Amino acid sequence: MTRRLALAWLALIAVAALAADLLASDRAIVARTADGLAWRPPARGAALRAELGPDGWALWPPIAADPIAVRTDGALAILAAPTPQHRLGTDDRGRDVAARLIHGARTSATLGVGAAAVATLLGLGLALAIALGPPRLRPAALAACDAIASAPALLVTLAAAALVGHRGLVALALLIAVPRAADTARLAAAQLAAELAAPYALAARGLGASPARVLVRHALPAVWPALAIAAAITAATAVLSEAALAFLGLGAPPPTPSWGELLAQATQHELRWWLAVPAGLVTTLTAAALFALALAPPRASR
Amino acid sequence: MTAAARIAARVLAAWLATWMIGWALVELAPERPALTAARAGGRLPPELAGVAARDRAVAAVARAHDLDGGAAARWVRVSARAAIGRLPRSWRDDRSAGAAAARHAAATVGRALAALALALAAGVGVPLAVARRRGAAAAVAGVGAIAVAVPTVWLCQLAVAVAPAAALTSAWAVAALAAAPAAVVALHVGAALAEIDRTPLAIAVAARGASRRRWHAVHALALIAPRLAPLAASTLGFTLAAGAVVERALALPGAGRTLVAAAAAGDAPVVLTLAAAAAALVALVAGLAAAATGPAAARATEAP
Repeated sequence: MTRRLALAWLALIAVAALAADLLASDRAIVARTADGLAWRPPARGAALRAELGPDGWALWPPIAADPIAVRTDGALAILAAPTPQHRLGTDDRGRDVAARLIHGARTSATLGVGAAAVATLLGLGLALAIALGPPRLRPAALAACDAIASAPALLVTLAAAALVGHRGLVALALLIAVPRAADTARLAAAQLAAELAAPYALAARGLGASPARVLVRHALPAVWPALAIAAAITAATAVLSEAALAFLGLGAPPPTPSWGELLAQATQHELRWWLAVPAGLVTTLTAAALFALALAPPRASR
Repeated sequence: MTAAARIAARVLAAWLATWMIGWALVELAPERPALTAARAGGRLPPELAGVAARDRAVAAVARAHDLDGGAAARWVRVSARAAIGRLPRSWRDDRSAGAAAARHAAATVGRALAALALALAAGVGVPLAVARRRGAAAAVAGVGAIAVAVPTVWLCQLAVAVAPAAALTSAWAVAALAAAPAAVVALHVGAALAEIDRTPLAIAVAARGASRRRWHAVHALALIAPRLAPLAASTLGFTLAAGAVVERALALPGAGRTLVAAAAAGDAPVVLTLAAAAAALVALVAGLAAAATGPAAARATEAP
């Protein structure tokens, strides 16, 4: 039940991230103008409405506001409470909060998936090197992984972000992924070593299977569940780290919409609830769904 | 090697590794350290016109902060000096980086240690208290998964929203810092209790007439203790790092705010001094916890 709820929420976030431009934008999805039917016409908002003419029509996204640019037909609404026009109010630049929340899902999903992918691939590579490398070097390599993994992840990310000076999403994902890769590596290396020393693996070797075959056909499949758990924890860590880093002013570069940036704005502006509550809620639910997937008991295999 | 020597070696390794890796990042950054230092110290004002004038200003900063020479030579020099405690000066205000880092550090470390104690007490106490109740394990796992997912900044905002500003003291900060680590410890302890309750030792202790309460308090807790040692270290790491968020959200003084200000300005010596001090403190607590919990586990395996 918990696993299904978590998967359903994460699917919702994935849809929001993938279809953010169709869900929240001031560009119509499809419009019929004097020139004919157009998919995602370039004209936006009031400009398109003027082009439509008497027989024209347009299908707008459910939230017809741009997450970055502010185009007003009248007065600029800054830090405005929710209205029918802006269902979750506006931020300190008059941008629609609901639109930024939906596009923020893209930022969090990119960071989460990117950090999890990098940490898993790097961790698996390190684990293979440790498990298959010279046994004499194994304790030192595992101790190094232990030391890196036990370093405070947020502090490492904060310090590295300051030292390297890059503030892009890719750099942020890499900074979050590297300490987690060490944790993934020690987990996978321990499991790989146990699987390669298990009686079934020794029996397979005795029957003539090559070390590569034992590794690929037997040991690695046994490690996948542990890697999936580590990946889910990395993705959750990335979502929470983004919120903390954005709050400290070291998150995704402006004007990238992100949930952490909305939380930071809430603190700067006397805790306007429409800035703090939705962003905090989606961050918590997304991280909780990922942790729940990591903690869920494994399914019985046939 | 004695336990004290092992702990000292661990602390020194954490301190030195942070400096070596951190300064390598400084050298790998797209901008030259001297240029970053000049920018951080405000030596490149917009009115400083002309490439030659800017180059002269950067060269002066490089000489003043010993940032001349090649990247490898600088890296060796900084690492060797950090090993003997000779820290570079702050790029922002030219003071000793150690002095800048030490300012308000006691408040941050005090809050982090208090949060560590609270997280361990709550994380161990709650699963032990509810262990005999039906469905307790599932409840601890469910609440723990939610609690660990709440962003620290959001917890602080909730505190600000519900409490009067005058009441937002360090106690709130400690509670906000301890929430997520307490959930992590509770999840580990809950899972470990469920596992240990099924061992032959548990059955033997029960057969000899010991109550379940005594089993948990005397034997199970001591068996779990070694698993808590690495958790204590990672919890302290989290509380030190999240201190920056809490201090900013609740407007409290502390080294976390110094770190954020130094990070925003690109003041690498102060950032690295604070990061290395935090890594050394975490290594110290990890070593002490491992030394303290090892013998307890050995004693716990003896049935009454």
